[in-house]
Amino acid sequence: MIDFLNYSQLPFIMFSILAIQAMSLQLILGGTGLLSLGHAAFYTVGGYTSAMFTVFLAPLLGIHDSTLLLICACLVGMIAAAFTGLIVAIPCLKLRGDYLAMATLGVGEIVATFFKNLDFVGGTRGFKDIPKLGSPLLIFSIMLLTFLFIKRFYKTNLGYAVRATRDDEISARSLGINIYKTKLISFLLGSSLAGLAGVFYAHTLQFISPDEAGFYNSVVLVLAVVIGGMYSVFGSIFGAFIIVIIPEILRFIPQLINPYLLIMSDKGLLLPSLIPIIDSILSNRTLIFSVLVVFIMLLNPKGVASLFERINKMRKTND
Amino acid sequence: MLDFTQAIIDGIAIGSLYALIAIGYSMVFGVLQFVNFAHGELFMLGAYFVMLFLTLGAPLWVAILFSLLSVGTIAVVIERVAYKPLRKHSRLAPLITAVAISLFLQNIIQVLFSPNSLSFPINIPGNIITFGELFVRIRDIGIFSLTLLLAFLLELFLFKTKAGTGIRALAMHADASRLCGVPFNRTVSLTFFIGAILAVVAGTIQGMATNQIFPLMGVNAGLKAFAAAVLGGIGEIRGAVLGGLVLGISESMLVSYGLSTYKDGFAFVILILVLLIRPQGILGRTQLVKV
Repeated sequence: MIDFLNYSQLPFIMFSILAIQAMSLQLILGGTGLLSLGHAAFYTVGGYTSAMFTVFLAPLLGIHDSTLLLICACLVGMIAAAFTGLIVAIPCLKLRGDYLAMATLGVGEIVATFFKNLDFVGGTRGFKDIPKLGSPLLIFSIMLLTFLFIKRFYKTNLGYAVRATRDDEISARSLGINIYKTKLISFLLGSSLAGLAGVFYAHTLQFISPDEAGFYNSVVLVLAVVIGGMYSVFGSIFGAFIIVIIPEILRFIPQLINPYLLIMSDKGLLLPSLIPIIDSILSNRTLIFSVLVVFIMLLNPKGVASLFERINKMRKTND
Repeated sequence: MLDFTQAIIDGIAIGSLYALIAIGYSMVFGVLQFVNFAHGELFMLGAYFVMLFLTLGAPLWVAILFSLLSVGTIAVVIERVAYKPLRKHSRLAPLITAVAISLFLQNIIQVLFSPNSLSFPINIPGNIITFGELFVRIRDIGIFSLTLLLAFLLELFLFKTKAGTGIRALAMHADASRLCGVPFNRTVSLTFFIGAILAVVAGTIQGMATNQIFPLMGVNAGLKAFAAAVLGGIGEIRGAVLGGLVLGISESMLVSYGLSTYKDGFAFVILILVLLIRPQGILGRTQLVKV
């Protein structure tokens, strides 16, 4: 049991962090309808700046109390991420749809290159030996708070304005909503929450690498949002859960399938020389995961939230 | 000034490769308004297939021909399996499957060959000729002329043949072209096939010029070629060629000023700057937004 707890601690933390990130992207992608493909950039900026703060600045300022340190790190990370968000948003939010996606994609690569060239935080090798802060339970509660916060945000006037902007910019504008300002606020909110997730990532793994900002991580976040259903905040948590849990399950697949392969080759259904190849294919988790992702998207392109909606509808028609 | 000219000359070869890959992004985007993020992997597959056929003992031209056909077919299959069923859904669904496919291709090559780089069996030596104080590699001239030739042939195909006209019609207005009898699915497949072929050519050149290939070689090249396609005006063949050359040359200038570590991010800095000033790209046409 203890073994299991120790083993499951890391996936649990990663799930909470990924869920915070996914929800922060949901605000931008599903809530506001802005196609952002560089969300990992904000999270990396948050992680790096907070780590720089705890490693270099905090000892100078004489902050040693771990609670205070964590609070300061979170603030620093969120502000830095929001600031990056502002720099990105001011020019880029003027672009439409696909072009916004292309520009934000570039932002991720630029941030990665920037940190690769910053030698005092490790350069390409990544930032090592970041002090450990925060417990799994704390991160989980932060995730729940983020969930409640975004849920509550959608119920405010600004939240309604955000979704009106997503659904129809022109009618939203005719109702007196300042489109640019609304998009900007939601983008900043989303990027600062991503920064918060980055703070916990850096201080849990005690390491962060510049490649974290790359395109693939941003796509994983988009995947988390889309699997769960773009328009649902809870869906993002569910998407994060799926993304973390599937590779953990895939760990056991080679052991499960290998005996059958041996039986098949004994019966002459399979060339024995193929067994090592099949084994290495099965033990490559990214490979299996990518195939699963394609299947998930093909079977359910609108996300799991649409399944719930369908079930609800069926129940209503039955009544 | 001499450094400047030398940088331009050095950048042309890599720029030509970006251009060849960028054409594929550009054509697919023109037809489907969709960015095929697995396109960089076709470039990688092309190099691996040529190497495979060469090691099986085929002469170079047979190896290249087989590689063109097989990677082209793979591209068409990918489109049919992973993108076509999602066409009617949100923009993001095919985007995610595209990235998943590219992860799949990278990893399957790592499993079947090796995660490390392999040496390419044939290479073109980098003989240098000098013009005054400028150095020019003969192979760079060859790569550049081949790129221009292929782009020219492609334009000829698009403007002079029935199938090419179909592609242009589809890019202009999908529904109207359908009404005029353009076979939608076949034209889309053809577009993917052509894009893949050019990526294979680029991959083969890369393999022969640098003499090594590795499973992740498509990642950076793909993203940069995408930037090049947007830079030149996505949806335009000439734009893709121009964007690729601009990108290759500006990268080589960065290297000549000693900033080579900033190379990877620089493409995207240019991309964002161009998008801000001219969102449709250098040669792109403005699209009217209807209410």
